[in-house]
Amino acid sequence: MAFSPLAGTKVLEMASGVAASYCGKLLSDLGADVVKIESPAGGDPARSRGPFPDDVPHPERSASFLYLNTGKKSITLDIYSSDGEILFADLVRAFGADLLIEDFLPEQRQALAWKYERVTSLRRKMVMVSITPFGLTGPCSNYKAVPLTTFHAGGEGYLLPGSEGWRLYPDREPLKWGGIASEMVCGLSAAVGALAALFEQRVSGRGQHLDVSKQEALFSLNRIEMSRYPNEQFIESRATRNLPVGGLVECKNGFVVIMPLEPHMWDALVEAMGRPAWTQEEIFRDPTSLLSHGEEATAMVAGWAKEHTKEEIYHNLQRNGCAVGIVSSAADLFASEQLGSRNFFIPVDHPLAGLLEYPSVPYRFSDTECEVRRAPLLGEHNQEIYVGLMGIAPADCVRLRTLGVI
Amino acid sequence: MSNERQSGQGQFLSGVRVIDFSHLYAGPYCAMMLAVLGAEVIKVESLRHPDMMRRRMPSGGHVKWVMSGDWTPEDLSRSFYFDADNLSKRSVAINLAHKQGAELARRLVAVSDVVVSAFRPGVMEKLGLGYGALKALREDLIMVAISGMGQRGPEAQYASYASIFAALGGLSYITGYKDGIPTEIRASMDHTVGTTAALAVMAALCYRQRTGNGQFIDLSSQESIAVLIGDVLLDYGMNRRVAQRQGNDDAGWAPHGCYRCTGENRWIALAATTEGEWRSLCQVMGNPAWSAEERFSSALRRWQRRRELDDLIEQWTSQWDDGELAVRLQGAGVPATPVMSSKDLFEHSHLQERGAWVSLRHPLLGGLHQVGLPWKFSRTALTYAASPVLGADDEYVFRELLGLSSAEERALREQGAIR
Repeated sequence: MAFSPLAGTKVLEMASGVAASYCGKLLSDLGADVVKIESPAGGDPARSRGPFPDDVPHPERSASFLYLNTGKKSITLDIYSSDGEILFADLVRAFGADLLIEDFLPEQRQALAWKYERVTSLRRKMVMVSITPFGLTGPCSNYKAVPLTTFHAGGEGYLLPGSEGWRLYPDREPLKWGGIASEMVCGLSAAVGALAALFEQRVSGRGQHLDVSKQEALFSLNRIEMSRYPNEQFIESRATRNLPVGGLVECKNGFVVIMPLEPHMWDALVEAMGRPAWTQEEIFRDPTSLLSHGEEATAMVAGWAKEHTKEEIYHNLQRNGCAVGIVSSAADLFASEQLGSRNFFIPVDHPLAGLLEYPSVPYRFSDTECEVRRAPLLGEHNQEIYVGLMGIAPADCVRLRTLGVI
Repeated sequence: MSNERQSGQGQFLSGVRVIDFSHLYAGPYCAMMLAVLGAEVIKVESLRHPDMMRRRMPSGGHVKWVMSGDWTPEDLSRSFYFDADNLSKRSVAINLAHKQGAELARRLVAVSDVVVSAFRPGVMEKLGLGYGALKALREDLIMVAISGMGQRGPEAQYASYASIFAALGGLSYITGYKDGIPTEIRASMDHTVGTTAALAVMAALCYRQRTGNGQFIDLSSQESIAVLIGDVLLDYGMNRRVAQRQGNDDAGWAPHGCYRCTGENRWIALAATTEGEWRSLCQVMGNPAWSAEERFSSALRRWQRRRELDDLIEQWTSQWDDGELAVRLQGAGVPATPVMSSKDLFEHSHLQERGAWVSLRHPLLGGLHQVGLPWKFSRTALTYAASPVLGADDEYVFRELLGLSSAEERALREQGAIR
């Protein structure tokens, strides 16, 4: 552990949503000590969200929770109670927290006495990271949100589905990304800001408050498309996303995305298809004319693709130099030789969820280790933190438990 | 020609120098994040090999490209698309394909802290700019190499663009209508990868701050997307279940979707996640008779009959303006928002008040608007300045940082190493 990038960094996390949990996970996998504070009444809501093995709900077996909380410690604490507030203050000091990550809803924020000023007075060095749908200021800061609405307030919903999806379904509704990825990228953006504040704190000795709006985090990822409106009065939409040639193409056993964006890639594609006669016609040979006959060319490529598997197309085109990718399912990812050779999936054992292959991290550091360790059981570290670290008498712990504080 | 850098007091990364060898979106966005955080970022390009985005120009709703030939640095410095991912940087024109040019780049790295690169694996090594060679010049160097599939592995040399690693990372497969095809996802994927790279660099900077050690970071774009579907991947491990496309559906809540409003391509996204939100929604709808029917009388029933529910809700929303309706629903405590376009976001008073857009003065383009980074810090300033004209900081780099005389610089220009 001494060789992890963030070894020795102390993080407290109070998260009920995916983004803030994922922010904590990123730091935990990078080696920080992350203590997750969960509600004694059931813990992180992710524990009751699935998927579960065999669809049998169990708070220690939620795939979402197991993934979003790798390597963290868990303590339970009712921060709304007066004992909870005192314990929290003691914890901040005893633990020596560098960072506090939180995602309280507006009404919870109001109910809690300790706002940023209060928290910083406990420990001036601490950086507080607040991750909320619309940020902490501005006329919409109290708006209600779910990941769906946050996503569609971020600008990308207006662009999805584009190209082939738009061609097939021009009358249907805009789409969000699948799964909970859109929340995770917000946690990712927050983590970069959190480390910037940590880096600065180590120089100045002072913490600060970072206000991250998920709407803005999503918005920034489409910065080029968004900037077209103010700078050229052009509104990108689902209808404006066509590629001249290629795109999503159905093949024998699934889909591929073919992107012959440069002339040499088109040549490579022609080569890989075995130079069919149509590709030798003048309209498809000249790069400029090819672009104006892109739709026809794509239809011809699609005809060819129907006869081949996604694996054949992927390796054959790529080896010839044309950019292409398999539209990969979860099963395809586990079967990927590339991911396998990089040990992207690693086995992680858990006392109740068992041994499972987890995705690790997308970066390999030459001099430091990132270790993905199992998620904690609810309140697993109460003893270690309350008794071991904070020195609370075991009998008081029993009392606090009876009171429902921990 | 050099930009005015708004160098505020106490920036996050003051004193950190970054050399940005990357082109297009992911690498430039990573380096730009560091620049906005106050690092001195020097982008290395040349007239021979400018960042392709410099050539992308607006043309009445289309895109045109500045064609190769006798272009000048000014011709290559009028793209606001390029600007969007290259704010607050400096620019130097060095021809890396020239032996002396590569040597200049090495000397520059020797006085720097971080290198950002995004060539295909092996290209930097061929130029004599691989991590091994650079580390010999700068022991504590941090270098991030961004590529489609990572530096090693059987597919490391494969070509990749955003929609390809969105596909290979598993996000495209699960994005789409339940009965439809998968969905191509574009530039947001590049920027996700760039953000991931910035996180890795920040972690390495924190490590170096503690230990004095630099390091090399191999960053895979495919993996940067795959980590965003970790729950789906664990589900496969647990149940051998291959997650499928679910449109805008949630696993438990209904209604939960996008519904048509008045006007062309106007939609509202809304959801009811509690009994209270459902009742509020019904109230805003004017408690229509169908909402009290038994088929919608519990959360589970609503979820099971969600397609019928969607149709009924859409009959109602389609009479409404999306913005007006969202305000009414929010007033009643129902999560709702218009599906926002770039225009909506630019005109959004909330984002204006939060300063989410930044206004910049570009030396050739004049006033520009760009999307800021999604951080509001209470104490430390962010640095925003327009992107640099190609080679704008040649003098600073060659004179001040590398100590070349003007005669030496002239000779290198004549040899083709500079420009």
